[in-house]
Amino acid sequence: MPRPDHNGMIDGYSSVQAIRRLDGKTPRPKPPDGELSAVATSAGVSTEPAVGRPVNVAHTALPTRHDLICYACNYRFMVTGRLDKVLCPKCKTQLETGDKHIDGTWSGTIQTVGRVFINSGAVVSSARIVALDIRVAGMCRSTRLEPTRHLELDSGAQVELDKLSKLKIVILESASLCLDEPLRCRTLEVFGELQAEARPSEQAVLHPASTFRGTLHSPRLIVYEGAALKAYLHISPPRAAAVPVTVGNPPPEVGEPPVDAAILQECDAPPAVELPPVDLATSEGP
Amino acid sequence: MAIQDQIRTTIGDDVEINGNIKCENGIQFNGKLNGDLTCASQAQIGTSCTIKGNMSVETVSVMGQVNGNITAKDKIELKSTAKLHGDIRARRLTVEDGVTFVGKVEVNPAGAGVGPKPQEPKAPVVDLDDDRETPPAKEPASESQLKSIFRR
Repeated sequence: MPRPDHNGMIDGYSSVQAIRRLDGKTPRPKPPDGELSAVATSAGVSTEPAVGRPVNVAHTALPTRHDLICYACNYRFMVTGRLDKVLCPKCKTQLETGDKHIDGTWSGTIQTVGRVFINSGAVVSSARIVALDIRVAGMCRSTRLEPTRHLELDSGAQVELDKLSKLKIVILESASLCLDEPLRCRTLEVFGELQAEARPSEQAVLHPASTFRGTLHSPRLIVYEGAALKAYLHISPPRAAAVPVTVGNPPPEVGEPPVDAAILQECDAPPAVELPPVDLATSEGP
Repeated sequence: MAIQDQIRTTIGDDVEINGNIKCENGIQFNGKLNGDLTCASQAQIGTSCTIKGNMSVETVSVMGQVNGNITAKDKIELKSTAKLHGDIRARRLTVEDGVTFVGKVEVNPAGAGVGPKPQEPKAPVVDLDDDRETPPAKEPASESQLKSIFRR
């Protein structure tokens, strides 16, 4: 018989067993004395009244959801349950799912929808790493880091800054970094300590308990309460085109630039050909 | 107590003041000010407000335009419509997405100055059981040693 969990709750497996006993496939075990008897109410059928206090099914265990990005076609999809063999629904590529840890000296290629950890003391050279997230605490030389989500930097990380311009950078909470050269990236999120000249092309976010020193040039900035700052900031959101938009007029579409009407008229009309004047008095007949 | 309960002075968006404003209680300013604003309580700078001068407040919420320095004893909130050209100094700071800001910032929730990490020298360890004095411990790694070398 199904045995309730803590606080009188039963799990999904017990409820399935109860339904099977209702169908007669599994004999009902004899309940011990004083034991509660719970009947699966999900099927909506109860054969005998519950003995003792009623059982409340408070929650159902749900499988784990994984948000994955295919490294072959960059298609974003979701998978539930255990990641065993994953096929991209778009390009049908069988994807590697495991997390990888790199210690020591290593060179090669890794492609996975999991995470890659370059641990402290590791030296990665002439390699290519494609993963969901890449956490760097070691040294990377002549290495292509291609995280599909973001690149995490921990204390001791050594990477080539000129290759990070299109990446989302996350400074971990345990990190304390001081950069000698400008950091150019797409977005920057700081959870730990960073001293640098940062130039994210999209957005910078300073989370609580973070510390930023230096210079920050960004079109957008979000600072949460609790962040410490001692820096020069230049935050200037991009301005939209100065087009007067009144109520009722649709906003201008972003696309090809508007063509001047005069230019259109000139293009549509055939070019005028000027014929030389004919002097009837001097023209000779056949 | 909510900020609205402490605001005793409201200046409309059609008011232009040339001079300094000093108040003890909360103020909501929606007009134009060519001068300094000193408030011992909370200040609200409205969306249509323009201030050309410095501000010294307890707490301020900026939604308009400020050309000057802001010094707050407690908190500065820069809302999404805020435009600030100047330096700010406060104990706490929040910045929403969409803010325009050019200037220096000094914010430290812990209270101490946010500067380079100070090196704490360690005292030599003396073993009471041993008469010999142990050599002093190595100095902690300086900031230059801790920082990561980023090379091209």
